[in-house]
This record gives sequence, C-alpha cells and structure tokens, in this order.
Amino acid sequence: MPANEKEEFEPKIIAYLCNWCSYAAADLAGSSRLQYPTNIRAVRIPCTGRLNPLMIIKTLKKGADGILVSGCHPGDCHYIDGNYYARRRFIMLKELLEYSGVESERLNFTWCSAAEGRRFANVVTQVVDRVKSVGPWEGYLDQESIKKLEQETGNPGSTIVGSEGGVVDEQFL
Amino acid sequence: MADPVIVIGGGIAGIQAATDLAEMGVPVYLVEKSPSLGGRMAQLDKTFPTNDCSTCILAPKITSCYNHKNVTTYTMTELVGVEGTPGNFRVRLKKRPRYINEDKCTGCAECFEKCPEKIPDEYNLGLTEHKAVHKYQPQAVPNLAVIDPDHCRKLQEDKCGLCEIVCNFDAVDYSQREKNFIVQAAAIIFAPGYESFDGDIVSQYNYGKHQDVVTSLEFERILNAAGPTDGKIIRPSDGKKVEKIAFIHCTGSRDFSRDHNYCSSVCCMYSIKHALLTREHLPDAAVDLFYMDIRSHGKGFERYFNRAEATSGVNFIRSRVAEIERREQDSRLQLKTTGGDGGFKSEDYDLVVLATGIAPKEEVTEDLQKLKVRTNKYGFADTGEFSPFVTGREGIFACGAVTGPKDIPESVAEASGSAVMAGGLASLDIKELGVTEAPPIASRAVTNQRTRIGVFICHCGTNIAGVIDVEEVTKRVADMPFVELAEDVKYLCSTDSQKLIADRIEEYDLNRILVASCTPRTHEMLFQDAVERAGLNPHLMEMTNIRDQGSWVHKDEKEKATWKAYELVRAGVARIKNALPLERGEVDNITRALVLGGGVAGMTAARELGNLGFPVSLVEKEEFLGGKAASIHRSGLGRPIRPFLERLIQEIKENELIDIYSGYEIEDISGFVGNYQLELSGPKAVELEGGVVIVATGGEELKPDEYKYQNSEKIMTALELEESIENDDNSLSDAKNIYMIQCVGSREEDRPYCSRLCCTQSLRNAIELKKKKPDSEITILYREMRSYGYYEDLYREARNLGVNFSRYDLETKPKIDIVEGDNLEIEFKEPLTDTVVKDNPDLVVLAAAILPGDDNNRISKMLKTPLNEDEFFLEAHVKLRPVDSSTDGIFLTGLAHGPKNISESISQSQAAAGRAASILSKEFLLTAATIAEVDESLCIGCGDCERVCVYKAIEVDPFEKKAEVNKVLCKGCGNCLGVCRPHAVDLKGFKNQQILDEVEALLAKDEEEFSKGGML
Repeated sequence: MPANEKEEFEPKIIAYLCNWCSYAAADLAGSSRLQYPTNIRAVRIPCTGRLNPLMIIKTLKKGADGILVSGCHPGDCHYIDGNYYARRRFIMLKELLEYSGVESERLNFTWCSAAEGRRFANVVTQVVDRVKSVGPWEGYLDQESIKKLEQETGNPGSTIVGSEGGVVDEQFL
Repeated sequence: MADPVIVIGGGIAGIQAATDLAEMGVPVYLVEKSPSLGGRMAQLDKTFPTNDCSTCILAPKITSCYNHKNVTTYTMTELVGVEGTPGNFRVRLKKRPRYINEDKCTGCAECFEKCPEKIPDEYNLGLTEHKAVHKYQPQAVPNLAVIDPDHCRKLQEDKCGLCEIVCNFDAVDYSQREKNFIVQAAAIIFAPGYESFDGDIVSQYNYGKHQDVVTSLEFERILNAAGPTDGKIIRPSDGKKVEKIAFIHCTGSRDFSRDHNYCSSVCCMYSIKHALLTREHLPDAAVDLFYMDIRSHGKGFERYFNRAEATSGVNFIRSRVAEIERREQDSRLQLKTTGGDGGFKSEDYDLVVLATGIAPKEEVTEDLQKLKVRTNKYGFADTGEFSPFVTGREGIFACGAVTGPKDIPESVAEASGSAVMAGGLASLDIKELGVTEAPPIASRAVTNQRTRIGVFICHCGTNIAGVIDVEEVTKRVADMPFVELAEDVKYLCSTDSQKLIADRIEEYDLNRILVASCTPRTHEMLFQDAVERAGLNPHLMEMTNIRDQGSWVHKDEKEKATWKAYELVRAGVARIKNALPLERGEVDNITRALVLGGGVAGMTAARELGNLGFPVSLVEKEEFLGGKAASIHRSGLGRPIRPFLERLIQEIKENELIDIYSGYEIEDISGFVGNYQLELSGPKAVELEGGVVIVATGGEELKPDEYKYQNSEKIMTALELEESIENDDNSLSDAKNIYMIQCVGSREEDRPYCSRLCCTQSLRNAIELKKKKPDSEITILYREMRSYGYYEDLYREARNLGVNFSRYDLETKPKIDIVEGDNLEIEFKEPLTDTVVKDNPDLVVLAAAILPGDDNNRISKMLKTPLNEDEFFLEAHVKLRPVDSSTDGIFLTGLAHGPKNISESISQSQAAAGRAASILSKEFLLTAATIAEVDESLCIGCGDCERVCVYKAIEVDPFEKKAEVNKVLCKGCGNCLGVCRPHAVDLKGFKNQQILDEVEALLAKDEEEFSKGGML
C-alpha cells in the first residue's frame, strides 16, 4: 500500500469496555475534557469476562480494523475475577489469531480504573496509532470468497476433503 | 411504615448505615455537610491491602444509596440540635445555601468555564484550583454545581453574574439563604468521620514552609490518576522528578506530649501502600519508611507488609526523624534521624510524606458535647466495649472514625451494626416489610407488536451541540428502519423533557426508546424512570453516550465527532430493536436466620436479630453457650467479661424468637439465599430452614510446640496466665521474674498472619501482675508492639509501671532451656546493647497464635463459601463488604472470620445481623433483571460455566445434564457466556445478538460516509 494512503487511513476500532472501571474511566476522560482520536467506538459490557472469543473474531469479521478490550485492574473486578478469566482467554486468542495471520497490533487488552481518565485517553491514542501502523484489516473472507473456496475444497464445515455434504454452521463463518 | 432514622455524615460509614436501613424498609435522612457524598474515602487513590481503586468500589455504592427510594439526602447540611426522646427525636438541621437550585441544575458544567474566579480546590486539598462555581469533585453525588459565596464576585461585590447568564436551566439562584428545618427521627446515627491530625508538623517538619513536605492525604491526591498531577509523583515545588522519597510514620500519633497517645491504626498500612504504589509509579525510586513499630494487625495486612519488605528499593528504617531542613544548593530535603546507636544520621530526599493520624473533628467533638453524648479524653465519642455503637445518650448511635481511629472495613461493619441498633427503635413491622419492594408493573404491551423506536438526542446546551451537529444526526437517524420518531431536545434531563418523552410514547405508541446524551452511569435510572412512568418496561430504554465519550473528547474534530455520534446512535437503534421487556422475578424468602456458633459472636448476632423481631435458630456444638469467651476474663481494655456474658446468655435464652440447639453438630447445609436447609445431629436429628446463615463458628488458641511449653509447668500461654491471675493462683505468688514472648506461632513462615490481640493481652496481663506485685520483674520480648488504637494507652501504662521491653527478630528468637530439675533459663539478644542476655525466669508466658476453627474447611465446603489462605472465612470484599461472604445470604463474624478481640467480635456480629436483616426483612427476594439464561437445546452439560461462576449461580443438573441458572444468585456478569462453547448461555439485556447487532451497525459502511468529508 502506498505510504500516503496509509497516512490517511482512519481505522475503525471497537472498544469493549467493562461497565465498572473502564467505561467509567472513559467518562472521566470526558468530564476532564481530555482529547483522543475519534476512531474508537465503545461497546459497554458488564464485565470483560462476558466476552466470548468468538465475539472478538466476529468483530474482526464484521470489519473492525482493531479491537480494544479494557476491564478493571487485576483484583479490582466488580465480579471478583472476571477480568482474570478475560485476560487468560484473550492471551490464548491473541496467539491463535496471530498464528492465523492477524497482526498483534489489532488486538489490544488493557485495564483502566475508574480514576484513570488520563490513562484511558492515552490507551486510545496508542491503540489508534498501533492499528494505523498495520493498515486496514482485509484479512477476513467475504461471502463471495467463501463460495469460491467451497467450490475449490468442498464444504468447509465438512471433515472430508472434497466432500459436498456436511453442515455449514452459519455461526462460525 | 417504619419510623425514619437520621444518619449524620455521608462518608462510607453513613452511606452503609443509610443503605442497610433503607433495605430494611426504614426511611432514612442522610445528612452531609459538604456538597457531595463520599467523605474521606472518595479522596483516596487506592485501598490496602488489595490496592483496589477507591473510586471504583465506592462510586457504585454512593449512587445506589443516593438513588434508594427510602433515602432522602441533604447535602451542605449541618446538625444544630436534638430534642425529644428515643423513638421520637426532633432533629434541627441547617442547610447552607448552594446558590444553585438543586431541582433545576443538571450538573452540565457549562457555567464553570465562564466563571472568572479561581479558588483552591478543597477536594484536592488545595493542590489545584477550580472556579468559584464548581462541582465539589468530578464525580460528585448529587451531580450539582455549587457556588463558593466567599469568592463569588456576584455575591461579594454584586458584579459578574455570568453563571446565571449562561445557565440554560435558570438554576443559579443568588438569593438563596440559609435554611433551618426540623426532621422527626426515631434514632440518630452519628458518622461524621475524622480529621487528619498532624501534631506539630508545622514546627517540627516545616510542613507548609517546605512545599515538598506533604501529608499522606495530599499524597493520595498526588498518586491519583485524576488528581492534581494526573498521578505523576513529582516535587510540588518545581515539578521535578522524584528519585528518593521518605515516609514518616506516626506524625501526630502515639504522641503523648500532644495529648494524642493513641495509635491511629491505619497509617502503617497506608504508608506501606504508598511505598508500593510509589514503586509502581517510579520503578527506580528509593523509598524509605521511618517507623516505630509496623502495625499490620488486620486481616491480610501482614502479607502486604511482607510483600513491601521483599520489594527492592523499599527500606523500612526503625527510627525517628528529628527534623527536616531544605538544602540551599539543590533544594532537596535533608532528614536528620536518630540512629540505633544514639547518634544522628542525615539523608537527602526529594519528597517527604508525613503519615498523619486520625483525630476527631473539632466541631464534631463540640457537637457531641452539645448532644450530651459522652466523649473520651481524646474527644472521640465514647462507646462501650460490649456495646460498641451505643453512646451515652439513648437513641444516638455512633459509628466509624468518630468513635476512634479505624480503617474502612471496620467503619463499614460498625455502620451495619448501628443500622441494626437504630432499626430496633424505628419500630420495624416485619409483617409490612415485604411491601417496600414490589416489582414494577409495565402496562404497555410490547410483544407481538411492531417495533416502534423513539430516538431522543440531547443537545445538553452546547455541551453536545457545540461540537456535534445534533440536527444532522437526528435527520439521518429518522430515516432508519424501525425508527418511528427522532427528536432533538435541548436538555433531555430536565423535568419538562421527561414529560415530553412520556407524551411521545403515548402519541406515537413507541415501544423502544433510545436516548443519546450523556453517560448511562449517571442518567440511566432517570430515563428508565421516565419510560416506566409512561408504562414502558424500563429495559426497553437504552442510552448512547455521545457527550462524555463523544463531544467532550473530540471538541476540535466536529465533523468526525458528528459522524461518530451518528454511528453510535445507529448502533443504539440496532441494539434496542431486539430488546425485550425484562422483569425481576420473585422468590420466596424464609425470614428466619440460622446462626452457627453459640459464642459471643453468634449470640450477639442472634440477640440483635431477635430484638428486631426475626426468628433465629442458634446452633452450638458444645453443651454450653459462651464459646471462647467462657475461658477469657478480661476485655481488651481490662473490663470483666463474665457479667456481660451471663447477661447475654440470659437475654437470648429469654427471647422466645430464638431457638437454641446446644450440643448439636452440623451435618449438612444446602440451598441458597432465602432458602437454606440445615441438618443437625445431636440429641436428636433436626432439620432447620432459614433465609440467611451467619457463620460464627469461632477459632482456637494455639498450643505451642516450641519454647519447651509442653515440658514445664512454669511455661504457659497468655490465656492460661489470664486464668491464673483471675483465680489468684499460688503459682503466681512465687513468680518474681517473668518473661513474656510475643508472636508465638504467628507471623512465621507457615502461619504468616498477625494474631492481632496477643500484644494487648500481654500488656494487660503485665499491668495486672505489676499492680499486684510491683517488685516483680516483667520483660516482654516482642517483634513489633501492636497496641493499636486506644490500646497504646496500655503500652504506655506498662512502660510507666516499669515493664521491660526488648525486641527480637525471627532470626534471633529467644531460647528457653530447662536446667537443674525444673528451673528455666532464657537466652535472648538485646538489640539496643547488642549483647546476649541470660536469665532464669520464674515464669514464661507465650502469646500463642489464634488458629482458625477445625471445622472451617468442612463448613466452607457445605456453604460453598471460600476460606482465605490462612483458612479463615473470606469476606466478599475486604473493604466494603467485610461481613458478607461471596455467597449471597451468608455472613461472617468473630474468630471464624479472623483474629479479633471480644469488642471487635461484638461489633462485627451486630454488623452481620444488620446485613442479615436487610434480607430477612423482605417477604420475597427480587432477582436482578439482567441475568443469564440457558437455552437447553444448545447446552451440552460440560460444566464450564459452573467452574467460572464465583456466585455459584449456574450449575449443571446431574440428571438432565443441562446448566441451570439460579435467578436469585446470578449477578449478571456474563462470565458463563465467555466460556460457553455451544453458546447456550445468554445474558438478558446484553444478549449476544444485541451486541453483535450493535457492532455490525458500528462497522457498517454507509453510502454517504465518504461524501461527509470526515471519513471514518
């Protein structure tokens, strides 16, 4: 991709924020009038532990250029240890996605306490820069390419190579 | 309806007391002197020993208290006087003018910018400035502006008046005057908090003169990410990096000359916290702590101390700082300290933090005296050791730091305890209690109706509209599918707009509402109420945050911010379109308490609940009641326990509501909050049921296996000595040379906790012996003297009586030998002279550790409630839920929870009773609306959800092999969703589909987005 195009690229980043700490930090960044790039779209969830890995994959599939998951600091979880589960899961998923070719810059996990408005603004700025550095996300397959793939290799839902049968689980496409 | 109770003080203690009473169905007046609730805790950065963020844990508590329908909050209000009698007090109050109409102000902050007058920010302790019209703190509750009359140009010189001009709500009111009024209350809870006491730091440490000498509270603000330095530790004088920092313990505490002999109990811990946080912020900084004794006597505190000791760069120095001078050449601070050898040493630092103590507020002491509430010699409210919240005046209860120095969990526990005492006077009528929380009824039909969404977009004056083109967003959204109406409103939170929303629902037959404005954290409840009044289920309203996370953070990128707002609103529409009405379910509640353990802790809890009118079943494994207290004789401050214990036993035996099962063993416990079953074995098999369980199963004293304890009659434990003193044993009359060894079995590798009460117990025994026989020689060999709080007076008394003290370390433990028949020989190292001393004591007393009860493991498994590393029962939250277990409906008290003395056990038991009462007072329990649900057709019964649920709210049915959600226990965190492979679990209100719809709408490409210029 030409350098000038890369500079103009404005990524779309979905931020999953836990209701108790990071969402509050984002609010505090606002009431403190700290400025950060507009590329972030917050989705409020009760706890980062609520995020199923599939949700992250689907977010990428739906066209997000980057993802930020931000919860409470270790030990601060409103639901005792949801953020620990989230962290463990996220590390695994990140490695898996990296292995399958998703740049690590797209996947970001952090913590912000309700008093850390400044930290939140900094995190967003950094994440936007990171995602910008790897360009738009075009790694997912659209319906057309999947169809093409199906013709070549048979049904991706099937375990037998070349098989025409099997069930395609819509959910996993 | 029960009679109202008034709570004075809106800090953490007052908030807890008010919430507990409100939950019991008692109307509460919560009176706070400052413009916002929160008190001291709101100023803290983190809390020990978990380093939890203070605001994170406090803010939800404040909000739910403030919004509770049984709580009426008066801010900026002070107590004037009290007349009348218990059950019927007339409390005179005085409300200072805010100069802001509290009904009209929305906290939009538009006026702050225009105000020309800067003043020191009180919340940040003057370390920064805000305007004369301001919010007390960014997250103030209530979220209202306030005008400082001393600095307002309009009020002072009748000039300016800008805030009135810019206010769109006509909320500024310069004509407000002080208002006096009277409220009726059955009881009064006094929780006005404390003042930081600094002794003579001004003259001694040049505080105020040297800018880089700060108090601990100031340091809290400096550490805070939202504080004056954004959490950067820099020198206040010149903003330079801090490389070396000193913490001075006991400034203003343990200071006999200043009439503050008591220990403030919290400074050691918060200084350790400060040291650890400093290293986190500045990994290279050198941190020195100057201390006398490290008093980490609370639960989990010793481990925290050990962690700090093991942290490189953190040095604990046992020494007093004599003076602080500022060096001319590099303006660093030079500390002169007394060295161990009697000489002086000096060292340079960039920043010095003074660990200031806790003292009663001067005006509070006056208030107390006005109220005819007895104060102690230090000016704190005087309460009894056996009745910790009862003041000298009937009907007035005190809790928190007003009765003496203490930390947050103790204050919270005391607050719940005083709520019980006050509730007793408020004539609770159990029969009518359940009525106080009936589920709301939404009349408007939603299912099988076409989705008709109403979108309301707020200008928030210029707060949103100044950046975001609100009309443009409204126009675009209006064309979206399912959107019946899109309307922009100047201020959605105003009363008129609330009515407007209700009218529109009626007019357009709307069945989903999207509000695009500020944050749901502060305003969700308001809008939920508004739609509910129009007959719509409150969960059919969603909010989209376009101010706090929109216009405010993108003020220079108007086009992009507008586009972002449009996308957010579009996503909100996508999300709300599939929302379903959510109801809170009702579950039957058995209004009986099951109390496990018939010691002082269990009996106190039973008595309080019985007094409130709740039936109680009390189970004790021994034949007799009294537990450990039956074998101890003196309270912490030396009062006899026997008479109190006998009275307590008599009281609970006489109370018809309390059934006692003594001589019964617990066989099994099952069930959940509202419905516990208890199986007992004993004289006969018994099955009991109750809505709550209070665990008060006690602990044990260690029988030491060191210091030749097993080998000589002349070596006994402190408890055995107490028994001998009480019986005036002959064995003591011959004992002239007595040694006491502290920390026997505590604070060692395999038992790394402090047993808390042994230091005071030994001091008390030493004083007792010395008084009986002044010529006896008593030496206490200790590691750290932990006579916290008022017990410091005992330490002083013992020293005045001539008791010797000598410190030892874990590496230089004293040695005891038995020589020539039955004679003892002790050998220990005297640190001051650095010599080894040998002596032949007549008696050696071992301060043995407190052990968790044998049964803890078994009971914990039955209750499915966890133990901590030391096998004591673990509380749900170490700071704010000190007597709750993580399992709903199970409460912890006494030695089962951790080492504590009798007075502390009583206070904790009253707290447990208070927390239990807030559940027992409901005829049925309401489940949360946003909880998990299982699609059985998808569930494979793998049990992953069960493993991650800390609330034990989801379990796989062993026969059906399907997961089931316990609606009472589920908190709606969604952790089970995170691990569910077949996606069989979903979370109401945060459904997978809703979130995916939202994300899809956020990411959707729009035909026009390129033409918009600000491509996003």
